Amino acid sequence: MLRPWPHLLLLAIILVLAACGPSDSPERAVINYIEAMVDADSVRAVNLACTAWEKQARTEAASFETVDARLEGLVCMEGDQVGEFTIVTCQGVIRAMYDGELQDLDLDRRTYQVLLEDGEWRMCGYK
Amino acid sequence: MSLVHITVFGLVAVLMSASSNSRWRGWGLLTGSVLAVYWLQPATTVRHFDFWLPTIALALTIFVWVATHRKTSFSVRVEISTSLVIAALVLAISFTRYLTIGWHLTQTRPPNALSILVALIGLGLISFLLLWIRQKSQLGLWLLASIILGLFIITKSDPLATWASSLARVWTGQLPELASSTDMSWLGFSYIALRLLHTLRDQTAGRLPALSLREYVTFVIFFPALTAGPIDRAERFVRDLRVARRITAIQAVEGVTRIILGLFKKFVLADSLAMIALNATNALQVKSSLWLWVLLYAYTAQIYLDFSGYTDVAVGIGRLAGFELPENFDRPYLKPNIVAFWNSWHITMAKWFRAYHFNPLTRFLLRRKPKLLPWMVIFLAQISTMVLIGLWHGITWNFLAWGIWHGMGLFIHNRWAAFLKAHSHVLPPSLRSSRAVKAASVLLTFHFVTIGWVWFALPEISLSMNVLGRLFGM
Repeated sequence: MLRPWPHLLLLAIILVLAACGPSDSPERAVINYIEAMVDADSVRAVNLACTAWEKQARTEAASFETVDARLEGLVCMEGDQVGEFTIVTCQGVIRAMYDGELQDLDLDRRTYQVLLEDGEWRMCGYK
Repeated sequence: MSLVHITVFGLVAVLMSASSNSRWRGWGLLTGSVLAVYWLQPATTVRHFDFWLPTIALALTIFVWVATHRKTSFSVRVEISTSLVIAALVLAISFTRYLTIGWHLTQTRPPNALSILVALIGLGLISFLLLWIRQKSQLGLWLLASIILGLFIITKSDPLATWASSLARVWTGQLPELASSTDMSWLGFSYIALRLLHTLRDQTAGRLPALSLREYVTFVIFFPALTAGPIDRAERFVRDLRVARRITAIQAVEGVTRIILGLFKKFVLADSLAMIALNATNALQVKSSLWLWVLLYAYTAQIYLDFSGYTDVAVGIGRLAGFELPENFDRPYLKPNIVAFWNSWHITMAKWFRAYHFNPLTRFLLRRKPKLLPWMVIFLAQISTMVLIGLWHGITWNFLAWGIWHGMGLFIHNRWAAFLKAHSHVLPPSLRSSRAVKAASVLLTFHFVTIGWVWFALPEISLSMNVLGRLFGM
C-alpha cells in the first residue's frame, strides 16, 4: 500500500514555494538583461524583458551581433518605485569595438525601469 | 550537444555502468534521461517553452506507454512509483526557479510550481482516461498517433510552427505578432516521435515486448541518443537495459575512443569545413564553377562528419553506460550504388522507414486489385519513402526535391539492375567485378549524392536550380 505522508509533504512544500515571491531582484534583472544584450543573445534578452519591451530587447541584442563588446564594472542598485515600475540605476561601462574604434558606453547615463510580470522581475524600458 | 553536455553524459554513463545492480542502474538512467531532456532543450522567445516542450515529450511518452503496455512482472505499485518519481523530478526542476539565473537546469527560469502541479494532475487524469479507453477500443492508439504526427508536422513546417508560436504567445501574454517558426525548436522530437510511432505500430501488430514504464521512458528519451539518434528498437534496447553488468576496461577504452573520434569529427573537422561549405550566402557570392564544386564537396564532407561525429559520441557514451547502440553510418561515400548508400547512411532512420512505410506499402500495392505492374509498385514505394524521409528533415520544397532526387535514383538503379539481369551480355559479370567498373560506380554514386546535397543545403528551389546550373557551367 502506498504511504501518503511523503507525497502530502511534497505537496505542502510545493504549495508553500508556489506562494513565495520572486527569487530575483530588480537590479539582478537589469544586470542579466545587459549581459544578454552584450552577448547578443536575443532569446535570453527577450526572456528577461517584459511583454511591452520584447521587440526592443530583440533590436538591442541584435545590435551587438557584429560588435566585439565586453562589460566592465557593472553594478546596479534598486531605486524608487514609480507607478508600477521599480527604477534601477547602474554603473559600469560597455567597451565596444565599432569600425576598429574602441568606444565606451556608460551605463549610468540611463535609468532602467523594471516590472514585476508573471512573478518575475523583467527589464521594461528606460526612464 | 556541447562539450560540457558530452563530458557530463560520459561521466554519468560511467557511473551507471559502475553499478552491477540493475535496479539502481535502471533508476539512474531514467533520472539522467529525464534531467537531460530539460537540460538540452534550448530556450525560445516563448516564455517557459524550454520547460514545457520537454514536459510534453515526457507526457506523450507516458501516454503511449499507458495505451500500449503489456502486463509485465512489475507490479502496479512499481509503475505508479515510476510515474511519481518522474513527477518529482519535473517538480524538482521547477524548484530551480527560486535560484539565481545560471543555476537553473533549463535555459530560462521554469514556470511557477503551482502551474506545473496543476499540469501534472491533468496529465495524471489523461493517463487514467487512456487506460479506460484502452479497455474499450484502439481509439487511444489512433488518437495518440494523430497527436504525435500533428505535433511533428507543426514543428517541421515554418508556417505551422509560426502559427503555433503565435497561439502559445497569446497563452503566455506575449505579442503574437512577434511569433517565429524558430520558437518551435523542439530538441530531439524528430527522434522521439519515430520511437513513439514505432511503439504504437508494433502494439497493433502484436510485436511490442512487455516493458515497464521506467524501461519505456528510458528507451524513448535515452540521453546519449536524444539529440541525433541512433533510432534504436525497443526490444533491442531493453535487452541491454535489463542486463546488469559492469563494463570491462576494454569496453571503457572503446567507448572513450569512440567519443574522442566523434568530437574530433564534429568539433574540429566538420566545424572547420562549415566555414567554406555550401550555404545560401556563399552560393550567391561565388562566381566560378570550380569554386562552387569546392563549396559543394566541403558540404558533402561536413554533413557526413557532423552527423557521424554525433553518432560516434552517442555510441561511445552508450557503450560507457553498457549499451551497444546500433551504428548509423558505414562508409556511405564509398558505396557502388545508391541502394548500398542508403544501407549505409543514417542506417537506423532508413530501416525505420523501410519497416514502417516501404514494406507495408509494397505489400499493400502488390495485393491490391487491379494489380499494378511490378515496376509501378517499386516506383511508388521508393519515391514515397524518400519523399517522407526528405520531409522528415523539414517540410519545405527543397527537402521534397531532395527526397524525389533520391527516390528517382533508387528507381533508376532498380531498373538498371533489372536490365542487367536480363541482358548480362551488356556488362558481363567479369567486367562488372573489375576494379575500373567498381571505381566508376563509386564515383558516380558519390557524385549523385553530392549533387543531391544542393537541394538539402540551400533554402530555396530557385537558388538550388541556379547553383546546379552554374556547377555545370550554364
